[in-house]
Amino acid sequence: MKRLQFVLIIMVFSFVACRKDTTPPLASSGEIRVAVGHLVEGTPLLPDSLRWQNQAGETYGVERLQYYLSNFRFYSNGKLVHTNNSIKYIDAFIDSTRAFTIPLAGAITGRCDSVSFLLGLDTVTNVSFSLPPTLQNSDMGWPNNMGGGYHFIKMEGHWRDGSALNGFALHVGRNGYAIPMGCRCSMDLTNATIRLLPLSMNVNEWFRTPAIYSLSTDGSNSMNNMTLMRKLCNNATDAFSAM
Amino acid sequence: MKLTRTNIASLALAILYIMAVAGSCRKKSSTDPTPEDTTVSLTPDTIRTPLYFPQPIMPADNQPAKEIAQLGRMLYYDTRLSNDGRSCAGCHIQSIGFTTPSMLNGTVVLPHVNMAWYNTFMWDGSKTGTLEDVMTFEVQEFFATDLNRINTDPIYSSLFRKYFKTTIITYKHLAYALAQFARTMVSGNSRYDLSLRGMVTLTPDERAGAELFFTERGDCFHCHTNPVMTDNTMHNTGLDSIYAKEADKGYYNVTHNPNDLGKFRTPNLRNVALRSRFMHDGRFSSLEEVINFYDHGMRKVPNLDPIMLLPAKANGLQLEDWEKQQLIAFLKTLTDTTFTTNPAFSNPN
Ligand code: HEC
Ligand code: HEC
Repeated sequence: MKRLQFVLIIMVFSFVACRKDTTPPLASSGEIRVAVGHLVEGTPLLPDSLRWQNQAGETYGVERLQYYLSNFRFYSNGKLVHTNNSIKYIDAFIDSTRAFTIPLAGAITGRCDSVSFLLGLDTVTNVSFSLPPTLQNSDMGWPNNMGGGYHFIKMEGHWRDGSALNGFALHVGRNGYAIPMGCRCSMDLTNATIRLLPLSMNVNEWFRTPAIYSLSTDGSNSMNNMTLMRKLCNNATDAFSAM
Repeated sequence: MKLTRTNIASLALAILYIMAVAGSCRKKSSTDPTPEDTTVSLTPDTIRTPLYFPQPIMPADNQPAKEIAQLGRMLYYDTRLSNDGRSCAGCHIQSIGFTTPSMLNGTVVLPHVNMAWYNTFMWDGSKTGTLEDVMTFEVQEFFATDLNRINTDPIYSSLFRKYFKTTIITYKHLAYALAQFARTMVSGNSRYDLSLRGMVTLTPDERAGAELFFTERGDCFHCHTNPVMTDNTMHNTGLDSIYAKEADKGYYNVTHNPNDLGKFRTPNLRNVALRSRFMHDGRFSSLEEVINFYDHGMRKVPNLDPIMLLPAKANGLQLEDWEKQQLIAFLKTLTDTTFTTNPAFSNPN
């Protein structure tokens, strides 16, 4: 399974790499403004609020949700129209981190109908101390004692186990565990100089399809637990939508 | 920390990279004197840090200059800043990591070390912003410095006129100078740092302690993050189930949000072995007691930090005795005697 995922990622990238060469040269500019929101089944995620239900029927609340997005690819009719390899740090509860721009270069025409990106870092970047030395990046560090690099995501909070209150810390990192995300979108790339891309993560997607993730039976601490990290990665591929 | 060959290679690469980034960013900082002032030139300084440290937090309008840090150092050691004969250094004593064993109204004196990386200050997180902001509080409210006394001192009035081009010294000027001095107080030569730079090898016990600290077994690093050793964030670690003293309520006293009861800013563990009182109220008097708390002393309160509630920790860490000793051995590697004896941070008067 792990190998399959890895092969898939490689395939996606080699695909991307071939496509890049066939893209016609581009000449004008503009930018895509991305705004990232966090929801649970359509309701905005609030911090410290023990009120959400996952597919396993567990009530949970999120207190920390920090992650990286990287390796953006924009497609039109299956054809790669724009590539951006910047790395964005998102903290669901710090507004300033939830909006960023992706510069466009060249005359791009038509509609962009899908976007893909990684939640996490590619293997080239996922090396301790390789990101710019900001406090945020430093706090995302994944200790060398456990393979080094960075946390791709930290999602922490409380959940109720019967009457008992428990904690969870779903942390994913390490090479091979960056999550390829993709979703449909709709942006007219022809005319406007500013394009809006509202991305939103449905937190519940981490806990279902293809497999139900239960904090009680699977585990509430995923850090460096390859089985749990893999399960979360597989579930989360459809966590984002662009609407 | 295992220093395998690949680790060293990647660290070396990373260091080169950081040097490049840091170099290009820091060059921008300019403290050139304004054109109308030809008599004084400030000497631009850089905050010298190990290259794996993050960028220090530094406001654009207080870029480092040697003369201003030096002025801050004079103020730090000057008893005339207070109205009762105290100087900052009276409580923040260099030889023990800029803290003191005595308490102030039941509160442990926070150490001054690597504050250039803080954006949240005080045990209860009641001050946020930059060092300039917290230093303004220190002189204006905590010391209520008599500005008249400072303004009529010929030396200060001349130095501030030269460096800040002001004829009236305000709290802001004092705070800016103190902040610059504090920003130079960098500790990055502990045994732990030297081991990261490949200059010493930790003993087997110290290494085992680091392994506990930086893996899920001890799971200390999520709050005491590498390399700053604090994440600047508020956490309830389960010290109390009943908040007997007002001060035990911590961050709640700032926000009045019940979710914040008992939350404290993660303290910086650098030079922690030089301290003799631990936690906000000094309830523990040895590192053994602190480790025993993490081992089995934690109270399960509703807002206990999620990290403290993970299955392996739910009933405390349940460490073996030798593991406790290993953790302590690691904590002791965070002591930096080049910092506690650095003449640049000592009393200039
Ligand atoms: C009487 C003892 C005393 C004196 C004198 C003193 N301090 Fe402190 N300092 C403390 C205590 C106690 C704390 C912790 C207070 C708290 O967290 O509520 C502290 C905390 C601080 C902090 C916050 C550190 C952190 O980690 O958040 C700064 C900054 C500071 N002091 C600067 C100064 C400066 C500058 C002076 C001189 C103008 C000074 N102090 C004089 C006792 C003192
Ligand atoms: C959930 C965050 C968190 C984790 C995990 C954590 N700490 Fe702490 N630590 C804190 C906070 C917050 C305090 C201060 C609490 C107070 O004063 O009330 C503290 C205090 C300390 C102190 C006392 C420092 C001083 O100056 O008084 C030491 C030593 C310490 N921790 C070591 C450790 C070790 C060793 C581990 C791992 C076994 C660990 N911590 C895990 C947050 C954490």
